[in-house]
Amino acid sequence: MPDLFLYPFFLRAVAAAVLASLCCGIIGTYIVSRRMVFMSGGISHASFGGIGMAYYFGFDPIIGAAVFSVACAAAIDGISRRAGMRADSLIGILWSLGMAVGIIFVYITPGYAPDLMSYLFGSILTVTGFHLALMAAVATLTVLLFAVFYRDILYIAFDEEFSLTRGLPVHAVSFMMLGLAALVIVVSIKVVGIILVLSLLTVPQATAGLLARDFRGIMILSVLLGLASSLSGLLISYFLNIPSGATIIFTSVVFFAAVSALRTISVRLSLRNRVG
Amino acid sequence: MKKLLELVSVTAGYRDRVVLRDVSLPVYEKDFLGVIGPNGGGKTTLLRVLLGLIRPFAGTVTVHDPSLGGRNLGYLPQYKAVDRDFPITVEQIVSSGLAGGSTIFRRTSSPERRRIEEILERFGLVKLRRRPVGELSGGQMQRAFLCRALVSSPRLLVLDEPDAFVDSGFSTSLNDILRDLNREIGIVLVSHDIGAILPAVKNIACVNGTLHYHNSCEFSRELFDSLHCPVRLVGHGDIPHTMLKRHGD
Repeated sequence: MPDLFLYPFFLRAVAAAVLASLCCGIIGTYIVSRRMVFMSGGISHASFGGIGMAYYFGFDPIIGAAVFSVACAAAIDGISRRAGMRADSLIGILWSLGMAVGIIFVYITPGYAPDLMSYLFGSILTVTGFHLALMAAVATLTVLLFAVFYRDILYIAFDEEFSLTRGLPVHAVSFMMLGLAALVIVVSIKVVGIILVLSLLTVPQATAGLLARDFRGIMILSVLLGLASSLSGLLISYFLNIPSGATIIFTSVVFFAAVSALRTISVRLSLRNRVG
Repeated sequence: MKKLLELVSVTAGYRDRVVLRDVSLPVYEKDFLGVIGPNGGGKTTLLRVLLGLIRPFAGTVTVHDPSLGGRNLGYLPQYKAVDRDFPITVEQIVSSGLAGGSTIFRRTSSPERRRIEEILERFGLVKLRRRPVGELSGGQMQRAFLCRALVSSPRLLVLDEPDAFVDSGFSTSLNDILRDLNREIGIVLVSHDIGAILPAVKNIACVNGTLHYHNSCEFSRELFDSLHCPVRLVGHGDIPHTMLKRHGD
């Protein structure tokens, strides 16, 4: 086991898990509180279009994914606000359009796309220094924005209309958060993949929601739970030789099940004590 | 009577749909304006224009009171507009009433702290300050949102169906609170159950696409006091109606 931590690829994987847990724990709390889970799914899947184009034109897929997901976030925000189109229909369109564009470009790219699966399901063990640098930058941005704008973010997320009557920059902050969510999703794709990234944004938050009652508490606990499940998932996947992204998701759901079972038992016990 | 603000020939709505046509409405200092009308008649649109949330297609909203220039209006939204699953505590909800403009980079100042303490104390929410919104009763939630609306010491309080927070409609406590507040500030109140608070209302706006304004001469407080009865129903003429006998009569 100690040998494991001598491998640079494993150390990079640990660093990626830590950074992904940090930014997903924070932005995920915002996403879950504002009921933007479906929107996040749309953003993450639409990024596949950028990955496909990157294969065809020969640039780094993460750059393509970033451009597509931020554009998708901007489109959802802009079109649903102005044209009055139902946001969920729009998300459905962009979700499938992104996937379709991606598949077409991958298909017309000559040769075999070697690590396509790694974008769909993640490959934390092949994280490069460049990816880590990007993740660190996005994590820093996330922490910074939440530290500086925490109260405004909280108030606007809770009640946009009231915040408007107080003269808060509602549209600017909402758009900034959506853009940040897109960036967090893109840098986390390397860890668990397009399809599974949604769970990093929702499962730790659901577990934390059982234990904490205010936004800050849920945020901090989500980060810690994300760390616990991604690091233990990483180790388990290494020793059992199974896909790491999927294992990380699986352990985080096990954490959720364990916490909710413990909570139910403790509620029952305290009820029984009160009655008896 | 000094006017706080005034709508003149306002036409407003959403995108391609006009909801209010040519509406004029004065709101006076220490006014108690009841806004009534059918669903879809434009009560909420009227409030949104008053609050500056939507810009009218035509007409003007004139703010006569300089203190309202920075939109220092207290606003209590509808019960159904509140996300009761959101992880936010009573104290944070109340603090958000002081947000605005320069809150970025700034911690809550100590006069603001005191003001929050004061208002939590006044509405009996001190013990509930750490409780999340989802664990409050309707009445507690109503008070929390009232605190949020009042914490900035506004000159005008705008309430959108505050009675919807509790099953029993207008509790006597809300009635007393509003009457008490009305000594100092103006109140604009949308309600289905205007009859229950009618004795306190000074003017009434009936909104149904257009607006009819009824000032206090038509239903003076003395009239209700002389009747010695809480009026539960107010209607215009020519409304077909049926009165059933009381059960047990």
